[in-house]
Amino acid sequence: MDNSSIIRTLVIDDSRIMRNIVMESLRKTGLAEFEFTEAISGSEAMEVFDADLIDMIFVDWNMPGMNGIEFARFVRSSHWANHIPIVMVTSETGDAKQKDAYDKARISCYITKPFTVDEIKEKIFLIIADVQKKKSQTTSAPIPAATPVAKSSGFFSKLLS
Amino acid sequence: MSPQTKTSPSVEVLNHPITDVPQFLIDVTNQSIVQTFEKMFGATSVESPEIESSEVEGVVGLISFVGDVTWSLAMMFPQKAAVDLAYKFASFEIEYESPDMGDVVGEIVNVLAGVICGELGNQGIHSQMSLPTVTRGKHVELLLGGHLIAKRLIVSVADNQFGIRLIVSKTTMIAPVIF
Repeated sequence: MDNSSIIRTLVIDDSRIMRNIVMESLRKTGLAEFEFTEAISGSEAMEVFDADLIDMIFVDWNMPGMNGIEFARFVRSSHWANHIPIVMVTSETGDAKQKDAYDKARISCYITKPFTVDEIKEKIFLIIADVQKKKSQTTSAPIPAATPVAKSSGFFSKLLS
Repeated sequence: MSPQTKTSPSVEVLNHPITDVPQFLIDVTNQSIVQTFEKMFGATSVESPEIESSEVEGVVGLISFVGDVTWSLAMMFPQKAAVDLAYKFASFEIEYESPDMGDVVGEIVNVLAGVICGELGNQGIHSQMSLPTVTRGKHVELLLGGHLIAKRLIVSVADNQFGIRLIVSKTTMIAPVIF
């Protein structure tokens, strides 16, 4: 199986129903095969988050304790996780809120509830394509062949001398 | 909903307590209900009944708003409506007595509140919503203190009906002026 086609996705929402809706909607987009990790809060997400094992993050805004914006800032402040796309899935529809999310938390994409499968597909298909491209470049990059030592007959003589 | 031009917030200081829920809140709530519920569940209509009914056997979701105006919104779902709409929202069966029912109703309230906040924001009225709380029971009744006034709406969608209450303090001494 080509692992570059599997998107390892962290879904963060205090609502089990919403996590299920997000995961099911992503499956229905058909854009990729998804492998999900769930968290019920920003705090729990910090505990399970590993930049080496997560390709993409879907996070709710309003959650008890650490909210989605704070979690996104945490990810963006991490040099080793800065590249991971973050999709905000939220009921906050105001233009000012969206601007805050993009400017202050540097999220990659903003999806407002309620959403349809087609809407989520349209919003993330480029992000998914980019993630898959990067994963395929990482997994298929050949190990450079060892450069042969010069075969000149004088090499070993010089080495020994 | 027609696009609104953003305006700077402008408030009018009242010299008397209000006696009715402000019309702009009713209008924004009506429009937000239709916009949100039609997308989620299909054709939706909203009425303002004259007869007051204060209790429901079902699930009540409550959310509050603070900002330029402080107010609350309660959604009162009879049991059948709660089960039917929860199924449509989540795409799987949710038992009425299960904790997931509170989760779904909370999310539906949250989604509506988000749309309302957005529309108020587009009119220059700043508000922040709370996390929703959900109650379930046989005779769930909203007990409003003497300082509170409420407006009742009835929403008809997907062969179901449920109630919405807009709750405002009588002592609201400012009201946003919308241009």
